[in-house]
Amino acid sequence: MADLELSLSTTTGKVRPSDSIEIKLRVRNLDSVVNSYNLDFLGIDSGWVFVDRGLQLNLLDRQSAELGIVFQPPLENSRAGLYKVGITVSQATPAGQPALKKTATFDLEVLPVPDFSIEMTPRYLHAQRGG
Amino acid sequence: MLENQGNVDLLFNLEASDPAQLLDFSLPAQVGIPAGESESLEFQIAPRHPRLVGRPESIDFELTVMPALPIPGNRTRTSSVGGRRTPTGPQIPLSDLGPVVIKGRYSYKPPPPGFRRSGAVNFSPAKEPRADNGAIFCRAVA
Repeated sequence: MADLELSLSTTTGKVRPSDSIEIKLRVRNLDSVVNSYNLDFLGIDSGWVFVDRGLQLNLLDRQSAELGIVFQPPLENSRAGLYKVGITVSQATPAGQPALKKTATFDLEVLPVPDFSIEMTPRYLHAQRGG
Repeated sequence: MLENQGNVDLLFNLEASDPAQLLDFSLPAQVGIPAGESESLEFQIAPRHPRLVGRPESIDFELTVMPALPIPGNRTRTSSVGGRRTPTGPQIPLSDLGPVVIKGRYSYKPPPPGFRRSGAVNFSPAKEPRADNGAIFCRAVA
């Protein structure tokens, strides 16, 4: 029976917009044959995520590999809050065949960066009683 | 014009005053603006005791804006600003960002002698060009 194992270096992290945080994902092929895997990220904009070894992975039987995953929310459009990120590793199989799939969950907190501007015009008001 | 340029919803506490307390201000006490959005506010200024005769006078005033974070999970009420309803309610003060004080001047000119007709107090902007990116529109009333 094909199987794989996932483990994260940490399951929670905080980051300010434009800063980055890196975690490690270890993927272990528990099968007795060579397997290929695809990575997917759920619950987060895929543009915020970089994987040092790409989104595809080949592992020999009983082999494991460690991937560096960097989360970097952009300065703009990164709303503060908690993002439950699902990191899914699925076995690449021929079309039509069921694929083995496992998901690790990472809680990413994007920290609030409050900022505002104010403009008042006119600054000078002229009032006159008139009809 | 208040623009929330951050990534979190903000509450703004607004307060206007003049040192001699000669003016009445009508403006919302609190406005909530979602992250990335902006709001044009309009408020009114009127002299407390309009003079019917005398020399023109100018009264300096200040608009103080104190930003705060809404407390997550607490119920908020809504206030209608500029035709939109925005959340307001319990808050965490943001001392790093404020308060911000904007200074303004209200000039009042009594009617010329013999002028008997009553009506609204009108104002026109000073010679300063108006900012293109919006404004808090002040309207003077009698």
